[in-house]
Amino acid sequence: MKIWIYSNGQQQGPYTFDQFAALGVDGSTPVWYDGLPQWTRADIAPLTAPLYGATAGGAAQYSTRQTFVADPNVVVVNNVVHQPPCPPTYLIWSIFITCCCCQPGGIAGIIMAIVARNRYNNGDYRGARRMSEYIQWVLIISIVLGLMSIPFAFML
Amino acid sequence: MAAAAVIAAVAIAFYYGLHDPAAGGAPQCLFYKLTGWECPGCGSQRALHAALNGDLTAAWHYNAMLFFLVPVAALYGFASLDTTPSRRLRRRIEQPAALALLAAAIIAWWILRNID
Repeated sequence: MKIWIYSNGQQQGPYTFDQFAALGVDGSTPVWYDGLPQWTRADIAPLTAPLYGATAGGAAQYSTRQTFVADPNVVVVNNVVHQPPCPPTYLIWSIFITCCCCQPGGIAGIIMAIVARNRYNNGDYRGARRMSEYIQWVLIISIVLGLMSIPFAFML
Repeated sequence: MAAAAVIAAVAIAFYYGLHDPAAGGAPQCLFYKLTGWECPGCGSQRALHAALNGDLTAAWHYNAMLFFLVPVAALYGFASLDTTPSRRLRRRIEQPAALALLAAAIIAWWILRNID
């Protein structure tokens, strides 16, 4: 059985099962092998799931929920994953807040951008988009709190 | 959106060019007032005023990190405008390792400026 993985923005493989096991990739990595209808997380694809501590029954239980195929944004052509561009990470705002608002929100925004990018590079487009929205909220709340703190700073 | 950003930037430059924040009346850092430690952005307003009046030495003294962060922020802002299919520049500079380096640089600056 040949196994392909999708990692760091590109398809890699094929690997034998033993080679794949030796790679020790993260459970969220998309894998595909002949017989699997679509790219699937390694920790829930029936063949590779036992490497991540899942029983055969447990793998079947989660297979409909977590496969990448459920995301209409991700298109698979000839077993190559095509994702839309990475969702915005708002780094210019994170740096602006670091310079101006006296808030740890800017550094939080940069660290969340790392998470969003990692998810995107691992083929988890939907996770990256969700993180992008969280970044937006952190930055908006930081700016509002920064503006609200101005009168308090004058009082001290 | 871009026009609004340019107008805001010109207005801020006018305000900080003419008004010296050190003379008072400018917003002050709550973190500094509460803890006595400077945050990574402390001194930005005074540094901006000094730089706009040509005194780069004073600007460096108020907040040296701005000389690094302003070009970096401009680079990330410019890259986010890139709509070519490959988005090569954005992919390069938004690598997780590059972003981790940026966060580490800011945190290191935050610690170092409070040590001496």
